[in-house]
Parts: sequence; C-alpha cells; structure tokens
Amino acid sequence: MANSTDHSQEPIIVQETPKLDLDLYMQNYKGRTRCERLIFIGACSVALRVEALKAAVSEAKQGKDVSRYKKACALLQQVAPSEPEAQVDSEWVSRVNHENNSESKRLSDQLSGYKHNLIKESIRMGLDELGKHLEYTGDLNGALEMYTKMRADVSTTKQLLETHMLISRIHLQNREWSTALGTATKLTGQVPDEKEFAPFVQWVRVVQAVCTLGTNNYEQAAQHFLKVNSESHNMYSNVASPNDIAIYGGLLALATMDRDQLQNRVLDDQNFRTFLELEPHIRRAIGMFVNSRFSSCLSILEAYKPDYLLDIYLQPHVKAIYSLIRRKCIVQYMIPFSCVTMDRMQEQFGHDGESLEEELAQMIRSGDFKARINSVDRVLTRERTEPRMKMQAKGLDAINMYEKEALERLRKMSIAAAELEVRGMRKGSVGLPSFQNIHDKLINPAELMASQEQGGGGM
Amino acid sequence: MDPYPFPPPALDPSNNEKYHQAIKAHSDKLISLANESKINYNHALKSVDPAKNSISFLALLVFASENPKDVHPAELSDHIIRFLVSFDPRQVRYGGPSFINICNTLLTPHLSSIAIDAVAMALQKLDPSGSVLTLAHVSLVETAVRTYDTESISLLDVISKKILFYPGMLNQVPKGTLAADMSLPAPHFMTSNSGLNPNVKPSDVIRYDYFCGMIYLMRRDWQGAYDCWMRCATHPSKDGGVSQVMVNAYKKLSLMSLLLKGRAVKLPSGMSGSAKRVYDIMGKPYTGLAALFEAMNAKALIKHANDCQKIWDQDQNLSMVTECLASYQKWKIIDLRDIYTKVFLSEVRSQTQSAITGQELASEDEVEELVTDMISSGMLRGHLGTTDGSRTYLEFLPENPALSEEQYYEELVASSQRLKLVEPLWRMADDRVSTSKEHIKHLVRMEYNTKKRGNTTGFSAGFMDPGFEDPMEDEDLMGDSY
Repeated sequence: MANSTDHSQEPIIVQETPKLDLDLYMQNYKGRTRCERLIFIGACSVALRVEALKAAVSEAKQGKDVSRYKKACALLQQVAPSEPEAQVDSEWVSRVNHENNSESKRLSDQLSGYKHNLIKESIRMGLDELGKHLEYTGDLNGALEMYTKMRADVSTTKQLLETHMLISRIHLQNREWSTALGTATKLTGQVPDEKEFAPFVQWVRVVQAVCTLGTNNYEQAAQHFLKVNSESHNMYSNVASPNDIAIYGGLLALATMDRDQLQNRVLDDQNFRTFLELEPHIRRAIGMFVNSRFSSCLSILEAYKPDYLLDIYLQPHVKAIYSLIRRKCIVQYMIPFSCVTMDRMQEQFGHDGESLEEELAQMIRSGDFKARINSVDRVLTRERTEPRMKMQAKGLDAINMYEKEALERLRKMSIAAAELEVRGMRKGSVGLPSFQNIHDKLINPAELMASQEQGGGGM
Repeated sequence: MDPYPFPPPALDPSNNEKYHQAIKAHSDKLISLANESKINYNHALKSVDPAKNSISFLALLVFASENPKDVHPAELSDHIIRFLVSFDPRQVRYGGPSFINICNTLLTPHLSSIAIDAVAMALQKLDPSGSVLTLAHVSLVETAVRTYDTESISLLDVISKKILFYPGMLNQVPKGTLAADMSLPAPHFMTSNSGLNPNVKPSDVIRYDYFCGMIYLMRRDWQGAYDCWMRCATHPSKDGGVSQVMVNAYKKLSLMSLLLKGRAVKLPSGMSGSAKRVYDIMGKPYTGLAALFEAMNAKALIKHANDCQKIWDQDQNLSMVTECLASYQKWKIIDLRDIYTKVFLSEVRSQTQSAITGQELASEDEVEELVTDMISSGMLRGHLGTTDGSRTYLEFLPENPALSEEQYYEELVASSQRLKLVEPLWRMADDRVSTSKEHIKHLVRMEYNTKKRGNTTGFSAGFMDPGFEDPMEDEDLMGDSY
C-alpha cells in the first residue's frame, strides 16, 4: 500500500471562502470522482461544506455505493443536522443493498456459467461486468480481484489496455500511488500506435502524473502534466479536469523549473497554453515569476490557496509546493543584489505572523540559499566568494593533502612490504590465526553478522 | 677494565669499512669475554664510559641484567639511564637486540617518568628521523599511557614523528650497506637482520597508533588523537581481518571526530570493506550518538547518551562522551556562522541548547561567557560587540583570513621544502620495490601479457586483467587515505 499514509492523513480544514463555483466545478468531472470530491470539499471547506455535502448525498443517491451515501449523510448530520438530506433514507439503503446483492449474485452465476462453457471472451466480459458492478457499489478490493483475473482472458490489445486501465483506476482510488503508477507505465509500453489509442494515452499520462505527484516526485510529475494533450479530456474526466491539469502542471512547473524552462516549456508551449487559458491566474503567476515580479506571483498563488486546498489530490502537497515556489522566488530575487535589507525582504516575502528570518535561516542551513544574515544591521548578504582567498586556501590545501597522501601511501606500502596487514582467517584454515595474541584478538565479521541477525541487530 | 677497548686509538673513524670490521671483531670478543671470565659487573659498569665505549657498556648492561645478583636493580636502572642519555649511536647500531631489550627492561611502572624520558631521548638519538617503528616505541607509548606519564617533551617528539617504515620489509637493505655509515637512512640500519630492531607484529603497529592516540587524548590534542586513531582504524587488512584494538580505535575516533570537527567521522573509501562492516555493527551506539550530535535535538542526544551509559563505561569512553556533550552547544554556535555574519547573543541563546541540561542557557551572560571562552581558545574566529542599545552580538570572522602576497609566498616555500623532504623517502621506497625479485617478475609478466594481447585492438590491448594465480588485494591500498 504505497503512500497509504496520505489517505489516512487528517484533512486540512479551510476556513477561507474559495473562489470556485461548486456547480461549475463539478461539471468537469464524471464517475465516482464526483462524489469523492464533493465529500472531500464537504469535509474540508467551512464555507462550502453544507452545499457540497448536500450535493454529495444527492450524487451518491444516483449511484449504488451505499457506504459512500451513508458517509455523506453522516458528515452532513455533523454540520447541518436540520437539513432533510442529513437523514439517512433507510428505504433507499435497504432497496439498493438488496438490488446490489441480487445483481452481484446474478453476475456471479452468469460468470460461473461462462466459466463452465470455457469461452474466454464470455469469461472476460463476465468478469468485467462483475468487476464494474463491485466498483460502483464501493467494493474496490472485490473489483480489483475481478479485473486482475480478466488479464488471463484478454485476446486483443484494446482489451489488454482496458484491463490495465481498470486495474490502475482501482489503485488510484485506493491511493496506492506506486502500484497505480506501475500499472499505468506498463500500459504505456503496450500501446502499439499512439494515434489509434490517443484517448488511452492521455488517460495514462494523467494517471501517471497524478500518481507521481502522490509519490512527492514533483519534478517528474510536472513533466508528465506538461505532456498531457488538451484534446480528449473526456477520457480522463473520471480522474481530473483540464482545469486541474493547468493547476497541477502550472504549480509543479513553477516549483521545479527555472525561468527559461517556464518560458519555453510552459508559457510558450502551444498545447499547455490551451490548459492555461482555463486558469488564467496560473498563467499570470508564472508570467510574474518569469518577469521577476515575485511578490505579485506569490500574492496570486496565496489568493487561490483555499481552492487548491480543496483539491483531493493537491491538498497534501500544497504546503510543500508553495514552500518550494517561495524559496525559488527568494533565491531568484536575491540574484542581482549583493546585499538586501531585511525590511525590504519582509516587504517582498513577509508572511503575517511568521518570521522571515527563521525561514531564511532554514533555507541557508539546508543549502538552498547561499547567503548570510546580519541580524544586527538587519541585512541579508550574498555569500562572498572572495576568489583570491579561495585560491590561496585551495592551493595550500592541495599541497598539504599531497604531502599527507604521499606519506600515508608510503606507510601503507611499507606495511605491505613487511607483511604487517591484519590477516583474517581464510576459509578452511584450522586453529587460531597468527595474529591472535594477549594484547589483541581478531573479530570475525561473518560470525558477528550472523549473531546480529539472530539477535535482531541490537547492540 | 675492558681488555679490548673500542674504539681502538688507531682507528680512523672516517673509514666506515675499517670501523665496521673493528666493531664486529670487538663484539665477538665481548661475547667470548662474557663466556670465559668472571667479571665484577658493578665495578665494570662504573669504570667504563658509556659515551665513549658504548658498545662495551651495552654488553655489560646485558650481562649484568642476566646476573641480577651482581648489580642491584636500582643501580642497574641508573646505569641504563646513564647509558641511554649518553651513548654513541654509531656504536649502538652494532648492538644487536640488546639496545631494545635494555629499553624494555627500564620501562617499568615504578620508574616511568625518568624511564620514559630516557628511552624517548635514546630512540631519537638512534634514529633522529623517527621514521622506523621498533618494539621499544610500542613499549614506550604503552608504559606512558598505563602510568599516565604523558607530559614528557621527548615522548611527544617521538610520537609526533611519522612512522613510515617497519622492520622486516622486503629488500629493506641494499647490498654492501655498512651500518657504520652515519649518512644511512634509518631503514637501512634499523633492521631485523642486524638484530637492532626485531620484527614487529601487526598487532604492535596497531597498538602503537592506538596508544599514541591515547597520549594525545590525555594531552587534549584532539587533532593528534584523531590522526592516530584514523591510522589505527584504517590499518590495511587481508582476508577480512579486523582486530579488537581497531574496533576500539574506531569507537574513540567516532567520538574524537565530534570533538574535533563537530561532525560524524568519514572513513576513507579505499579501506577494507570487512572493517567497515564490523564498525557498522559494533559501533552502532557511536554512530547513533554522532547522528544525534549533528541534528538539532539536544534532548534526544542526552537520552541516547544516558541509555548507552553502560556501553560507554565498558568501552572506557564515558569521559569522552561527557566531553562530547559539553562541546555540543559550542559546535551548534559554530554552525551558526554558516547562516549569520552577525547575530545577537539572545538569538544564539534561543537557537542553541546545552547537551548537559537539554535546555537553552539560563541567561545571555552565560552565552557571552561561553562565546568568549570559544574565541579565546581559538575554537571560534569572531568577536563580540555591542550596539548602541547595549545589545551584545557576535560577529563571525572568515575561517581562513586572506594572506598577503608575502605570507602566501612564504607558505608555499615552506610547503615545497616539506615536499622536498618527502622525495628521498619515495626514492628509497622506489629503489626497494624496483630491485625486488617479485617486482621484476611482475614487470616481466605484465610485459608478456601486453605482448600477448598486442594484436588485439582498443581497450583490451592495454587492459591488464590479473592472472588466475595473481593475488587479489582485499582493499585499495593506494586509495584516498583520509
């Protein structure tokens, strides 16, 4: 279960009102992700929780996943107990449960029949139907089992691709990032013709990108998002919307790419431009960064932070991505200066209630920022290189190292010539080695390691 | 008393050949003298001058020590000391194993401080370069550590010399070398064949470095101790050999690295893999301590130090661990120089913790006291200042101040002089290796292999793949040493 911790993380509660319009936002998605996203927004956003949870209850009621419906009702019960949607519709629950069970039984019996007849294509179809039914009812493990079994009965490339797609979809819903990524990558290798299977390829790219983001590999994730084609977005609307691609890709590029790359590969890229048009503020933020207007760039991002914190895939990474962007802005800002006052830095990058000096100290400590703080005169200075001093120190160090090395090598040659190395016991030799004496004894590495393994490695 | 005085009055001391023959003949006569006649050693030792008739005096000392009834042990010790401080090194080169034996006889705990001084001076007199290890070196440093007598300047002179040669080296002495030749380098006369320097064992070499490290530790010379234990822990090994003393040295080295550099020890990449594996396992508590020392969590460091107290105690490293804990905050203050050029003491106080209490220091005055101590001891380059508002701050100065052109030139000249001194040592090692039978065989084999592969092209033509019977080394002896 790769990165299952993300799944178990407590969601961040967003107090600020987001800019997003829930109805418009939800129009971009299809499938189970709709209800999942609504529940997530309901759990995280103080401003939108009632609206989102009511929509989630209604969405769940249109499907077959009883547990998800109950979850939405329970959450709504907590925040708005007086809402009629907060009461669990027991009749609907028992009816859908009954229908689900009957359908499961019917499909299982049908599959048994197909298996009895030994017709591969029928077995595959039977597994597919049962798997999808289980997925829609919320039994993801059962669905995964069916989809995995399907692999043995595929007969065409398209079927193989579809099977892998279904498997990776389940892993994605389970937040098993590495497994989903592995399955999606396998899928890429099996596509015979990218043009013919273009929708598949796009879906795979989106899944790869989302999973790479899930594994905290931001640089790679940015590359994947930038490769997603603006066409065939219907294919991946059960995972992310084109707006999401613009946001994820734009933020990750901003966090991991230099100014030239941002200009050439993001702003000037014809394909990604189409996405950026959907989220013009991301385009503006990147443009500000490229034009060295760092505080404006950060202000835009700060304004949209509540929206990003309500994104199901982005929320766990917002803090880290924002921190990377902020650090990059600070480093870039400092480049033309040899010295900047702390007040000016505070003006540009200050946060309410947070110490910029502490942040700068952390950046310097981690090696991300080559500067020194003068907290007495309140200035920040770039690390002085002083080439003359550096050259002198380097020259003298080289000579000292040369002398030290030469003598040490001479000593080791003499040890070898006098056969004074410590000799261990050769395999098969009997008795104590010649080294053993009252002052010292040999340690047997093999015995030591064996005793470590037996003793569980404690010292 | 001596019926065969040496040197005879007619001997021309500038003629090495004649000197050699005369002293050889004299040594033979001394042996027969001991076997044939009854001598009053007490009287003889008083009447022979150790500075002029050193070889005879040495023989008398040996005979007397073998007949303890004739000379009281205290008197014998006096005679040995008299001899060690005044002997003629040219004669003693012919003294065989006796010289080392009497040094070892003298190195007893109850006489330690005088004995250590005398033996250290004698070793320097015999080999001013101090480049050859003898068993007397090992006994000297061991006695010094065991008796806590480490203040002798002569002892420090001995251990500060770099040991580069060991008795028993293959092809150590060129043919026709006469020990009487005072221009000879030490490895050519301090040999096991002459008996002057009996062969040492690998454990002697390791123990010498280990005890030298202990002496430096007692003198609070961290760099000296670090270098010695590094040599000890990285001692070359074959067939996965690792000794207990090497492990002990590694443990001390880990702590010393924290005291000296404020960082975990970094072992050279070319050293034995088995030793590294053994250190990883046996040195786990030390590695853990170093990792916590490097982090910014004094409380966790204190907890680990307390949890492993028994281990430190068993390894006799408890006082070093305590010293490390005391230095923790100082290193954290030094680390601040990577972040700040000037910093208020109040910030120093809030950003660093003591690894004794696990807390910040109680007041700014305590911080000031600590920083002042660090600056005056040379640990930290910086100075304290006060702002108009009477707030005290610390200004960090560059670690290596810029040198003027003259100063830099002087440094370069001094360095090149030192390198020139290394050159003859290398030449000597080169001569020793290049005239050995094994080396010539190796060269012939290499040439044969090159010719054999001569017809092949590209990479394989110059590639020397070791023959099936060629011995494979356990480690890269020529890899980076530190």
